[in-house]
Amino acid sequence: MNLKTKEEQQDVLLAIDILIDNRYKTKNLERKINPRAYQLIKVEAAGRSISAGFLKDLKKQIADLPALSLTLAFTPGPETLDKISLWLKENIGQDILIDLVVDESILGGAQVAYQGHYKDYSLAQKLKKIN
Amino acid sequence: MRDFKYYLDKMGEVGFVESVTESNAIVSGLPSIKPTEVVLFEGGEVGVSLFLNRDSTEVLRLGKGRITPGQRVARTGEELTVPIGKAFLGSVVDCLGRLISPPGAIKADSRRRILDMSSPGIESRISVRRPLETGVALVDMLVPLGKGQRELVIGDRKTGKTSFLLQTVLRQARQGTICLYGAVGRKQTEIKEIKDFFSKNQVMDKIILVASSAHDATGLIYLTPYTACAMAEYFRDLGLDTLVVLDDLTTHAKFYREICLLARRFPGRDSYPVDIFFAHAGILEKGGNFRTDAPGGASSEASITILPVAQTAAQDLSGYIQTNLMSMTDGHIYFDSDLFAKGRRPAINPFLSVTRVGRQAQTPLKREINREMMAFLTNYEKLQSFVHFGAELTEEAKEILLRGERIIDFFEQSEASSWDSNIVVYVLSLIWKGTWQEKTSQEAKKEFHQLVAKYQTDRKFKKKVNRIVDKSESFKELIKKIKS
Repeated sequence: MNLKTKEEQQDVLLAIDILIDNRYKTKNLERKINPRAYQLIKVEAAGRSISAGFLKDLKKQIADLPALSLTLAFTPGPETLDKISLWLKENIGQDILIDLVVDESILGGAQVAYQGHYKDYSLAQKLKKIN
Repeated sequence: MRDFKYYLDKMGEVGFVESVTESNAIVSGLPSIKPTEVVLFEGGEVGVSLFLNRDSTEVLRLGKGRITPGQRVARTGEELTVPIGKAFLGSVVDCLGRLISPPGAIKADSRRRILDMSSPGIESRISVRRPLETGVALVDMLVPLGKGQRELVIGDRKTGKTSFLLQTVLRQARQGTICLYGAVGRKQTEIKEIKDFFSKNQVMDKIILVASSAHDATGLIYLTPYTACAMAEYFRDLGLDTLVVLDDLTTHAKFYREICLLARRFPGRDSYPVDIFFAHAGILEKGGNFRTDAPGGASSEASITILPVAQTAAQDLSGYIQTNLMSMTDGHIYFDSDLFAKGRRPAINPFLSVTRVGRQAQTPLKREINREMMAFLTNYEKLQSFVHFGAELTEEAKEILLRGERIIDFFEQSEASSWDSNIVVYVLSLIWKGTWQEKTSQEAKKEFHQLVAKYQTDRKFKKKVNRIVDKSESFKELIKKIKS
């Protein structure tokens, strides 16, 4: 599944739960589900019927995906996120998610935490070192 | 301690709180964390890594602040340490060395001591060979202790265990021993009472009260005995004799059980963690008589005497923690609730008490008296059971009963009093000689106390008693001298 961020993962997990809970209901289902998440599930199903078994397998598959915590000073647009995600998938692993935190106090650059390792490449940190 | 960001940058590792309980937090991440390493939560709370799992770390919380899942955690790279120094004498501190009383700050040494350092090996230990006076006549004569001994104080609640410990600490502090009183999970009023007792007797300058109250974080209560021992080790390294009271280890075991059960560790007997024996033995291993090479130290040997306390329920000595502690100490002093109910103070049962290394520290004279008294009192107890049957008694039996009664009368001692062993030997010799055979129990008791008071106030009399006792080589010789 082509997940980029932790937020997307949470949306898809929620959508799966809703689909499982409402599998015998037909009305108003679309309103309850995030359309982007539903789209991703449909793409993953690749034409197969979205059965309870399929949803449970999918949930298990995406629930424990590793995440890289990324703190930025701005909210990145979809293009920037795509770029970052692509870089991560190429350099670290296919299934890595971005856990995005926006903190303006870092001024610029980024703080990165992955598998317990932490690196501070922020502008605030650089300025602090200069001082 | 620096702030969270400092440690995050310094160590370059981050962890995230996965779940929190009253005493622990499970933290993921922190790939290079070591056991007993201090960690800092983003909100400023401090913890220490307790158990390392494959993907997570079980962190013991050392505060009661708010920790929420998802919060970041930083390593500090430091082991858990306590501040040390002579400046702590006279104060009440918690297990992290933070001052509880008197208010203010303490100028501790710049060095800190790792909380749970491994104990010195056999090469630096020497046998227990100096007596440790408790000031309690019954213990000093019948269940004597030595410096460096680990003696369990065991008994039901409210049988006078704490009073005995206070008397012992008082005696030792007056003799210049550094005393560490570890109050584990006690009521705050009890901690205050203990402090007031020492302050009233003007010995606080030799005492550090390491206290955790039942309101404190479980982690703090769990670490209290370790802090008391770490501080004792500091004074030991300076060449000073120390006495550590751990009041009490059954409570400590209960808090450790709570921590381990919340950490979902596999429970052992009575749901205690499987390593409870290891934990307690590790604490008691810190006691002993040690060879010291401290420059300018007072002596070439320094001891850490440990008096751990164990509480029993309904006189059951076969409990898990109680038997564990018995097996890792050099004997125990048993406080008998039956004797307490009969009005005996201290309610120590000498026949069920054990001292494994204390006698070897006694002088030959005191050792001989100890043997005589124990043999005599055993005989006396046996004879008393015959009296219950209403058997007709011989003159000899009557004399044994009377003498036994006087000895028991003499061992009755008020909680605040502290008796020198020489006057105890002197009075016992007088009893043995038959001085108070004709008097009633009340009259005899009054005269005993007068004699002890005279010894404490009359320097001439004290000198005379000391000379007689110190110069006698055997009990027979002593009695002969007293007669003359």
